[in-house]
Amino acid sequence: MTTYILRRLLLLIPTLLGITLLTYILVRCSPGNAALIRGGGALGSHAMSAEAREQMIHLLGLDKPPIEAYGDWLWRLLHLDLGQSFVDHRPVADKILERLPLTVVLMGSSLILSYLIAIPLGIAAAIKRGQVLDRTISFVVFSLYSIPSFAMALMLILLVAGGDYLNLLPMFGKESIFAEDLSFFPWLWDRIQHLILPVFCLTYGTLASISRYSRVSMLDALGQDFIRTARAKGLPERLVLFRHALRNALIPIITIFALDLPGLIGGAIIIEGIFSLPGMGQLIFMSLDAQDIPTIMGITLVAAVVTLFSYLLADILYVVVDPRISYE
Amino acid sequence: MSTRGHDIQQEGYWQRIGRRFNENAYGRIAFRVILVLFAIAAFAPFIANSHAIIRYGDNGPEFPIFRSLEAIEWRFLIYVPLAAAVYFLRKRQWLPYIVAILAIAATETSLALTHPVNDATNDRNYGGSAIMPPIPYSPNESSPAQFSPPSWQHWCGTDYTGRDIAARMVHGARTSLSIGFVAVSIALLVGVTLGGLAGFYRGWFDIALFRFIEILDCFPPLLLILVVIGVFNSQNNMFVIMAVIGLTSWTGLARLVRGEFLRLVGQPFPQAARALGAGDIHIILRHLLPNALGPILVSATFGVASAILIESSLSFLGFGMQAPTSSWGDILSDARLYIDFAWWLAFFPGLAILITIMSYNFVGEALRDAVDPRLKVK
Amino acid sequence: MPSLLSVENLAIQFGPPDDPVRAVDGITFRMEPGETLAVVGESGSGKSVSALALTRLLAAPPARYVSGRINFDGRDVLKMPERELRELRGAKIAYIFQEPGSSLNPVFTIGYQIREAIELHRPDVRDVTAEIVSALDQVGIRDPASRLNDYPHQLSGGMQQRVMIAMALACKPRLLVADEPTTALDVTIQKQIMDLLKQLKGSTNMAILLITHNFGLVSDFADRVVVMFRGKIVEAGPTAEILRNPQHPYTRALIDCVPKLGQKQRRLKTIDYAGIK
Repeated sequence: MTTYILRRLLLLIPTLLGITLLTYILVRCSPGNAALIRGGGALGSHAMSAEAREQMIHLLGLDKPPIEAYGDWLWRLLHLDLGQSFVDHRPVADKILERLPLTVVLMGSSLILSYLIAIPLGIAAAIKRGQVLDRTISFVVFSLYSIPSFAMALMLILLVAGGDYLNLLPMFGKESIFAEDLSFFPWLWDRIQHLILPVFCLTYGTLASISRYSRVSMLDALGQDFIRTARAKGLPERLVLFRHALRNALIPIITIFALDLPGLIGGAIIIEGIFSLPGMGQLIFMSLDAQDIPTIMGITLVAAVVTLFSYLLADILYVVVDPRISYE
Repeated sequence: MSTRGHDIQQEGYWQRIGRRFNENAYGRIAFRVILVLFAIAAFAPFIANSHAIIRYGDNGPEFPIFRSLEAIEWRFLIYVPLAAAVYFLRKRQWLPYIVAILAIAATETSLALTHPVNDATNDRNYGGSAIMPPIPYSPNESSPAQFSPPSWQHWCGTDYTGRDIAARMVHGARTSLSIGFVAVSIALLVGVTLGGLAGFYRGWFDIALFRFIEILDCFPPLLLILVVIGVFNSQNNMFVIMAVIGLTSWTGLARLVRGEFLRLVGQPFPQAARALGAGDIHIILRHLLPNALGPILVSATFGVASAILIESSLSFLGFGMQAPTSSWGDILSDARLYIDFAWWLAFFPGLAILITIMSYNFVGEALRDAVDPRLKVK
Repeated sequence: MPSLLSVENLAIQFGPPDDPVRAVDGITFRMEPGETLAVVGESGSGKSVSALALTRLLAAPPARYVSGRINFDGRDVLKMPERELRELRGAKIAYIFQEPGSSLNPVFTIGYQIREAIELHRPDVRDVTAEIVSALDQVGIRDPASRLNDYPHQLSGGMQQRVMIAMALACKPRLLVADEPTTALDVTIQKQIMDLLKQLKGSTNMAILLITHNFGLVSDFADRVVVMFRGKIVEAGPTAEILRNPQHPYTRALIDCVPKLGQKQRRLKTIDYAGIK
């Protein structure tokens, strides 16, 4: 098993290189660079002195041939140095790390919630196939699935948060202004209140698709021959469903879960924007606005690497969970 | 369906798919909704315009709406029916083609010689009799009636500069729908070609392509699109947006087509075709591709829904289309600031996006069920 | 002595009630304890449906049990409550199916699946592992103790079927229903499995109901034969008599279909349905 993992990790390296290459090419080709070199062009909306421009060109590696600059950057990456932001000269890594927790909490809770709710829903729909429960769940889920998250967010803000209607929950931010003055539990409750709406907006879409997927997976499992054998053995229906069928139905679902993990970084961009939450999404916007190249590259790279490792995790999970799949 | 004792009517592959698609009520209705949406988008200037369709002036009837049409509108209005006519008359030797060439020549010369008259006058208060389009406002026409709620005059209300929301929506349909459509077309072109070639020829091309797809797939799509648009500063650039959305979503199609081709090539019929002397291109285009078309269509349908969603999100965030060529997402983004007292700013574009995406999803589902060979045949 | 199994006028239908498919159209037969009965017929004759009906394994929609009685050990299966039915299944009537590979759950070891059956129906057994090993040994699996943690996909088709048989035997049933047990297997493995069944027939007092479309398997295995055609029984009787003197044209055709060694045949015989009522 460990050799399998090691082998897969080794195979990751060319892909990692590819990711860095692609990110680098993308940024290197940006028209902002050409403008900078030509002498005109303000980066973002800052006009700059000749000195600052020289520094910028040097930082971006534009004064060297592309391959050498790429090599430099790669070398720095290996030391986990993501460079410094143009905006405030702080290390990019720091800026990412201070924003990451909120996004991870948001996406993490939404992911866990949606799976926890969706899997039983899907299985119930499969077991009661064709009946009222199944058709209701399927219809509701399908309609939910088509609502864009920002539309749902706006609607919720309108109805439930500020505005003329109910005013149950706050409209933006991650905590109220006076949050620092609160003791622990009120503070926690304040936090939770601020996160309820965003988490809901992030959850319902995944919930919809996972519950449909669970339903199909369960139906698939129920149609297999070994279910007939289980019944022929005299097993109570409860065990047939929840021991024999479920165990098979869960296999693809678990691997899909791993594939949803990349969303932990960049999945909440829109929602964070709407609810003014200071997470990764906001960082992305600010960086793009200010053309803060190092931060942009840093974020893109981190997101891609996390995705890559989630794919690896999904593969490993598959081998662990399904006995038919060997380490080949 | 009892076939005992009766003749079984043979139906072709596509007829069967069409029939099974039609049996799905949701799919049927959704398909018609999409057709209506397309019609609205196509004829937008005739549905929402501040110029009259016909105006009876002192010198007889005038057609101000036509004067205000852009060149591209004319091309659309003339070439699409022309193409249809050529198609239906294609058996008649060279006649339709001559007519077509003449028509194209005439159109292009007159387009080059004239310019659209874009006066800001509106014909709503025209003294004489006039026939106005159903929504007698232009999408970018400000008015003092700001923030008015839906009424008989403004069916969907007005926004913060007094522009009629209904008019903005109708014209926004063009932007949103065409971006979705073109983006998916690009994705189809790239994905099907690359995936097909990889599946057919295998070898180093297949390995290289697969590696590339692996790498590309590691980037979260929305993030990648934002970064590209941001770094290249191409907000509000429709072609760049179409291209970027298309070029970040072709990998799924490529995998699909590659998989299908790998499966199909293993069956006997391609070998039979080759034994009969068919060349590679012939086999790919006439034998393999039609068989893979079912899943491709399903994927493309869902792809359009996804592209429209992405485009709306982009515009909503300010990275997509903005006025004057607004899309629904853009209209929605304005709404965010005024949501507490102007609910209609968000409701109508949101509804439009929802209905469009839902319809494409329904059609995609129905298509998927119709194409799936494993489903019990009725 | 009352029969072990007595099926009376069983009728099972599918499809709309006004235009039904009569899968089983009124069949009647009996089985005595320890007897081996072969039900022979082609695909669609209703033999598998009848077999599944014996423990109501046939899903009630879409199937409909229209009429008849299935008496096992004096009780009518069609009217049994759930709980009693579950005690019947596995413990008194056990099944083996056509595709052993897919009839075993791929995510559980074979040891586990056999253990499940034993723990369910024989809770008083103390050393379950020994029982499992003995069951596997009984069906001719070499070194059974080492195979307990194998998964089904690690076994060959023949071995999978042996495991199915072991699982069926683990609870010492009175009747084993074998639904085309060798159809999906190689010819050589077919013979091995049939030999195993023959051996089991001798060593236990278990009745065996063999469902097959191949008359060739019947001759030195079954005591009696029942021939089914389109949901009805067209002929029944002791094997030797049927083989020697088939009365019904369908039976004759079925027997003729089996290619015989030494006989020069230019064309394989097929069944002329027009000639059969």
